Amino acid sequence: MSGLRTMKWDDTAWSALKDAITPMPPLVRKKALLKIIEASEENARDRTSRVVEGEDLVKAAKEKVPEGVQKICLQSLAEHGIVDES
Amino acid sequence: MTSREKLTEEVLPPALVSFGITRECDLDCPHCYSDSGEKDPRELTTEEAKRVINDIADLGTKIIILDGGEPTLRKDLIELIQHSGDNGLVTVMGSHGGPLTKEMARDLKSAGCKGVAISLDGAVAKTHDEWRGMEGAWKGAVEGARNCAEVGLEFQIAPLLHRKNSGELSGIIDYAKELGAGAVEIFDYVPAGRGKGHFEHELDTEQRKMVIDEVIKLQRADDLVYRVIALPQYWVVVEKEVREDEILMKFTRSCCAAGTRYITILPNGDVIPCMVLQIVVGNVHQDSLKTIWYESPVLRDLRNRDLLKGKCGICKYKSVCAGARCKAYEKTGDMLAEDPTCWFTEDEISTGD
Repeated sequence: MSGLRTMKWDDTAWSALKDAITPMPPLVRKKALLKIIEASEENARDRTSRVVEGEDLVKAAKEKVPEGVQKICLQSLAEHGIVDES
Repeated sequence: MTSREKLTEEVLPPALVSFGITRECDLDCPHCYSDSGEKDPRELTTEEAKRVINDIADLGTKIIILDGGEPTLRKDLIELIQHSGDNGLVTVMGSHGGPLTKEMARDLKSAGCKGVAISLDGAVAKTHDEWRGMEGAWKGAVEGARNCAEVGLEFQIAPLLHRKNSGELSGIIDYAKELGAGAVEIFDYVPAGRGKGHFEHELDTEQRKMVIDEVIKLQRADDLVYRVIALPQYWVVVEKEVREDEILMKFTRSCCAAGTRYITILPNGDVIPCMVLQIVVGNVHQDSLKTIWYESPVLRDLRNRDLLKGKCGICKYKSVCAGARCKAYEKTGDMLAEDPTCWFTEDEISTGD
């Protein structure tokens, strides 16, 4: 497990995050990545789940990723079938 | 369902569109992807170009690259940049750097240009000038970069690597850092455009491996953004050799995005999947970009990684690499053929299914 995570992640959700984050410029990415991981894990805990799922990630991306790169991030998640269903 | 299967079902807009606004250029580079030189008689008028920009924005694209030719030779460049910004597009452009006087750089920045990619193909003037076909081209590129830095216009250095200059990569990067570049975008030579059929300029496998190793080493060591274009095996090596945390924090992926996240419009209105995958899929004089993007059978096939053939078809990295479709096309005439320059053996990349 990556040292950036403190919880177990669903494999698809983690792959989607990797795909979403790695095309971003590193300067924007570092901040976005740390925030999105933290928020996704918090969302999972709020659901009383021990595993971070796609829905936690989408919610985090919508709330925590800077506006400039949010669309690209959500698009990348959608490519993995992780879409906003709210 | 894999991500790519999903992608073929639900087509998303291109994240990035390259719009060649002129074919006119004062250099004579042997590799020129747009075969630039004289102005194309079918070049889009200002109003036509603005309509295309509207189409790009309507499509949901975020970033537009104004390209050429040399875009600064187009008289309405500033107007087009402003129009892009007014339509909510992040506007960047490519240039060989020579025309970027301080005044021009300032005008570009004031108009809303967010960055310029400047070609620099040598650590010394001789290498660059010989390749670019003009004495003084290197000096122009370097001065253009300095002018951008001076007025606070962000720029990146974009070296094109070919058989004779790959050994100068570290020198070019040192120069990029000294000049204050925010990124280095390294292009692997593809024999397309004016370079069509000129496979003798291509890097060999050892050179490509050395380039990748060097970029990985540099990316680990500093915070400059490194992107590698037309060499998607870069990401395969990164995934094999770099720790996941390190990848996530520092490395920038740029796989073959032709027709999946990226598209190119040429100065005559022709639309192609990528500047180096030159299969015409439509023309903006006849069709809207939206129609071309969503209905082109060529683009549909490019989005379906399950159609890839040979080694690329069985490769476990195909969602992040997919091979350089441009190289497959130029070598075999089949854009879905395996990347002829990929050096990985089937054992190294097979899914084992």
